[in-house]
Amino acid sequence: MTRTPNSSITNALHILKCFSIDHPELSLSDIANYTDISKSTACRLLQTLESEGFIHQNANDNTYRLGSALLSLTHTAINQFTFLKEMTPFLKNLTNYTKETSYIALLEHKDVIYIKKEDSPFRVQMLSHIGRRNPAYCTGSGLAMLAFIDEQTISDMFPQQLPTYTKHTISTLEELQEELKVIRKQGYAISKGQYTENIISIGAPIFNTKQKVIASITVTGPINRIMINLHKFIEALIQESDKITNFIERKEEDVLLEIFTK
Amino acid sequence: MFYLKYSLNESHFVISVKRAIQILRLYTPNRIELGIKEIANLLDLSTSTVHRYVKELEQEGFLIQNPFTKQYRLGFSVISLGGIIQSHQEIYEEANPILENLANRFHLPAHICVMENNRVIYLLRAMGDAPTKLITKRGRFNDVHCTAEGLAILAFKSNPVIEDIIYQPLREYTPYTITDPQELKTLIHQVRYDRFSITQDMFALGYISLAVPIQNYSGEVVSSLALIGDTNQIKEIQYEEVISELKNGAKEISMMLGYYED
Repeated sequence: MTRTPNSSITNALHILKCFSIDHPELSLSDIANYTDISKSTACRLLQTLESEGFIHQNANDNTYRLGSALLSLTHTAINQFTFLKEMTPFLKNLTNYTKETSYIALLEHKDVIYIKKEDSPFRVQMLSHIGRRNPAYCTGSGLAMLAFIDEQTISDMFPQQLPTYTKHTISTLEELQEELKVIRKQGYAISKGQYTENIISIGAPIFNTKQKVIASITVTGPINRIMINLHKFIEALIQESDKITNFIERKEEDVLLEIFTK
Repeated sequence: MFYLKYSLNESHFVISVKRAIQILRLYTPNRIELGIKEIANLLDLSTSTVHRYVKELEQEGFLIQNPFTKQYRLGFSVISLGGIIQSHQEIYEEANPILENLANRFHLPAHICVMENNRVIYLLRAMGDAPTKLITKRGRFNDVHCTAEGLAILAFKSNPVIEDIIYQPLREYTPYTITDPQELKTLIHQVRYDRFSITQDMFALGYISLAVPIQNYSGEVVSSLALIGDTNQIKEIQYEEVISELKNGAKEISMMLGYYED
C-alpha cells in the first residue's frame, strides 16, 4: 500500500463520492471534513469539477451539489449493459403480477446497485431508484447474491459486527452466514424491514453459464401488502429469475457481467 | 456570507483533474470501451500520463477494466452518482431560460410538470408577458386524465399504472372532460404515438394546455413541458408551431437530464 498523500485526481473523485441521496447538498466545510482535504485544496478541486459541469454551486447559499454533466455519463454507463433492454419483459411480468416494484441489481463489493426497475402502479417510493446503492446484507437483492459467494469470501468481506439500520437488521457476521445458508438452500432471500421499517424485499439470484451469480431480481413493497401473497410472489419471482438465467445462457453477455461482479 | 467567485480562469484549475474528467467524457453510448492508446490519441496526451490517470479512475470505481480486451469501461461509481442527481428537482431550475422563451413567444405560461401519486404536480413555471389567469399553482396537484401535461407523462407509463388511473372514478370537471376508460385509452395511445398532447376545455372552460414529454438519462419519461392558459391567446393554426417549439425545448431539457438520442 502506498503511503504517499492522495493525488489531486483521487481527492477530486473522493469529493464526488461524498454526495449521497441523504446528503445531496454539502458546504465546503462538510466536504473538507468528509474527505479529509484542506478547505483551500477542496475549493480548488471543486472549481475544477465545476468547470466541467460535474459540480454545481448554488448561488444563494454557497452549497455544492453534483452537476448534470454526470448524468449523461450515467446514461452511457448503464447502457453498456445491453442485455438490460431485454430484461424489461421479465420485470414487467413480475410487476404486473405482484403490482409491486421490481428491480434488477448488481453487486459491487458490499453494496447492491439497482440498474433497472419497473414501477409499481401504487405510490412509488424513492428507496431504490436506478443507481441507488444499498448495503447488500440488508436487502433481498443483496442477500440473494451474497448467498452464492463462498463462505470464506463473505468472512473476508464483512466485519464481525455489522451496522444496523432497524431493529431487524442482521447485526453480526455469524448471523449473516446462518442466513445465507438458509437462502442458498431455499433459492431466494427475504429482507423484512431489515433496511427500512415496513418494507420487505424478496430477491432471487441470476446465474451465468458457469453457475456464477451475476445479478439478482427483486420485488419490493410495504410489508402489509406483500405478506398476504408472499408465497405466490416468491413463486413468480423464482419463475422470472429462472427465465432470465436461461436467457443469459443463450447470450454472451455473461462474460461482461462477470467483470462487474467482483 | 457571500463572496465573489474566483474568475474561473484555466490557471486556477487542477489540470490533472480536468484531464481525468475529459477521459470519462470520451465515453458515449457508441463508444463504451477505450484502450490507453486510444485515449492518449484522442486527448493528445502521452500514454504514460493516461495510464496513471486511468489507474486512479479505476481505483475509485469510475473505470473498470475488461480482462478480456484489456480496455476500459465506465464503472459503478458513475452509475451511483447519477442515481443521486436523479432524485434532485433543482436540476430543472437550469431549464428556466427555456421556459421563459416559450412563455414570451406564445404568451402562455410555461411549466415543467411531474407525476406523483397519480396526480400531476407543477414543479416550475415561467409566466411570460401575457396577463393570464392561472389555473396552475407551483407545487399543487391536478388530475392527470383531463390535463395535457398529465397525459403527456401518463402515456409513457406501464399499463398497470395507466389502468390504475383510468379505471378510478374520474371527476368530470367540464362537459368536455373524458371520463370513459375506453375513450381515455384511445386518447393515451394517440398521445404515445404523437409524442404530444393538447387538451382544450377538459379541465376548465376557456383553457388550453399543450404538452410534450421529457426523458431522463435512462430513457424514462419523467416529466412534461407544457404551455397552459387562456385559449384565446393562441390560434389553432399555431398549434403545429407550438408543439414543434415545445419538442425542441423538451429535447434540450432531456439532454440536461442526461438523455441522449441514439
